[in-house]
Amino acid sequence: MHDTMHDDDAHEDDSHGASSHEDGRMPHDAHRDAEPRDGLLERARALAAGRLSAAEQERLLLEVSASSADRELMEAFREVHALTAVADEEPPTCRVSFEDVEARIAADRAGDSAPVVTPVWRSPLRLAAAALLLLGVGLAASHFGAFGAGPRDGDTQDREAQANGQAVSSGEVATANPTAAARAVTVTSIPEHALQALDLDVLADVEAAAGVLAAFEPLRDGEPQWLGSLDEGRAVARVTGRPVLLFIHHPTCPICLDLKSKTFTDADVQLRLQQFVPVMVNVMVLPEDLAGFLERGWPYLGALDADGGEFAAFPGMSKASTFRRHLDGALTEFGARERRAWGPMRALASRWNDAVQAADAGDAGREWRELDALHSDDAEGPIGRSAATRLAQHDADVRAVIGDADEAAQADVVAGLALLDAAIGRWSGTPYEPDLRAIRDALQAEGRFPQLEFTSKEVH
Amino acid sequence: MGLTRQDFRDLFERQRDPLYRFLYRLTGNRADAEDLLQDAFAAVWRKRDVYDGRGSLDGFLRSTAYRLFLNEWKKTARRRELAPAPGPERTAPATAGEVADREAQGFLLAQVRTALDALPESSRQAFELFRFQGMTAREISEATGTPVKTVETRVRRATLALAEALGRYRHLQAG
Repeated sequence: MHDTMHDDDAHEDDSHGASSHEDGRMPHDAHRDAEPRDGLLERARALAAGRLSAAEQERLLLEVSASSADRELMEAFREVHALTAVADEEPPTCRVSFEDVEARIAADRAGDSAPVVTPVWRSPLRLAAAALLLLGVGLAASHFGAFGAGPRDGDTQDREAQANGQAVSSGEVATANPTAAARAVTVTSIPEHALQALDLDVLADVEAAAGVLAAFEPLRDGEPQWLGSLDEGRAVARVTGRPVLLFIHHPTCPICLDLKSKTFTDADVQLRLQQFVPVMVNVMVLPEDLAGFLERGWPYLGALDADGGEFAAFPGMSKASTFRRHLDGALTEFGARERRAWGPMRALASRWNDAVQAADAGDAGREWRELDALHSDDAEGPIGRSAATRLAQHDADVRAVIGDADEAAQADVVAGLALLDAAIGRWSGTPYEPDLRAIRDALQAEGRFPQLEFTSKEVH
Repeated sequence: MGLTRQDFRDLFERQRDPLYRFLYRLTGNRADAEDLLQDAFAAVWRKRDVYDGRGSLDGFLRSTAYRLFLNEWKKTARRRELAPAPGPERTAPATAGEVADREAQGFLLAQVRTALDALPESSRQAFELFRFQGMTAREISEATGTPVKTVETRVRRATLALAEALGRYRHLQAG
């Protein structure tokens, strides 16, 4: 069983032989019969955790003083214990109850191996599936109700089939009764007055930065990861709330090479570099508008805000200790602004890219769900606000299509239905779809466009 | 002597949290750890007639859980993350020094993760169970069906490798 796991077993001391309960039988008592080993590692752990008395500490130190290997191991463990404390987190609370286990046992007996405690991520899908099922039942009732309710009109049906092509099957269209009031349809998926949440500047920044940001780490394998374009760097800086560190260099310049090999590899410098968006531009391909920076000195190093404004410059060679002070000074100058951590920003940018990819693939449902989740998870952040803007744009588009369908239906009901069918296909899987279907079904059943009632839904 | 329902409930009350932490450390994932936890208790109950009361029931439970983990999770090559990524720095405006401290801890955590992931899988598991789970070498031996000596060798090797990989970051330790 362990063969696949123990890729370093070849040189390990396996002289005691593995006990075999791979088959799930009770373990043999061999280990229990032996005296517990008072191992050095366990005492080193107790020492590192501060659990040894002064006398125990003294005794341990005396013991290990005879062996350099033991001393080395104990010192190494003490150091590693301290360094790994950052990763020593309590897991989230366990939610499993005894009743859950009993239910699992009962389910196993019944031959049902489905987990009793549903992983969190599965629940929304189940809810969504249930909602879709209910929606499907409701729509089917509405759809087939229309079949039975309206007077048959062969001409209309033929024209509709011609107009719809492969669109959603629509059945017959009723003849409108001019004396009756139009049916009311409640629209819940879009606010009555959309376009209130558009934040196009932020959207432009996110669109420019997301591609780079999704995979960007300021440090990788101990090396700063420099962006090659100031425009890209500024977009990332704006979205992450960080300053840009601009380095104008030449690949063979000795000072530049010294900076790269000595200064930028210093751990304390790297720690500070992570707070910037590092951009390195080769002087040989320097855009004209950046040439002014060279007047500061060679090679140019400076800190810029997201608008490209310089607020600190420290050109030339700097030792690591000096460069650290430059970076600290620049960060102080930049001020206590909200800097967004790289990890979460990468994750958000990656999800943004997924939404864009879904949109490009015509999967509006997936796009909508991703945008909605982003808006929810990053409500005040630039990516969440951009998601809200994209959702508001969808709201506006849906409203426009409904308006077009209304206008078209006044002249030709089938033309209105065709527009709604196309919209249903386009926004399939989004919250707009049930509303569009309800409008379409009402139009089909009554032969006239329904009266729309918008619920007071919060604007994205 | 078989396992009565009351014994089983006592076992659950006693071992739920330690076993969950053990499984969480292996899977790095709450839902997976909870799922395996239920499977392990259910498996022990199914085998209750085999239990003769002489061995360690707690050890049997843990070794069963570990076996299930190997069967269900190792073969899918799932690698877990040590801990959630540091949260977004969006609480309140901070001084440059405070931001630097938070960044330092995030940086150190990333280095720890990288160093742990670079260890052979068996050494990583042994070290994590020893360091983070607080298990003794004997307990790890019982749970994983590996000789105590081997467990100690793995922990020792992992310790020395981590000291070498992480020593240069000692100035970043909190406090």
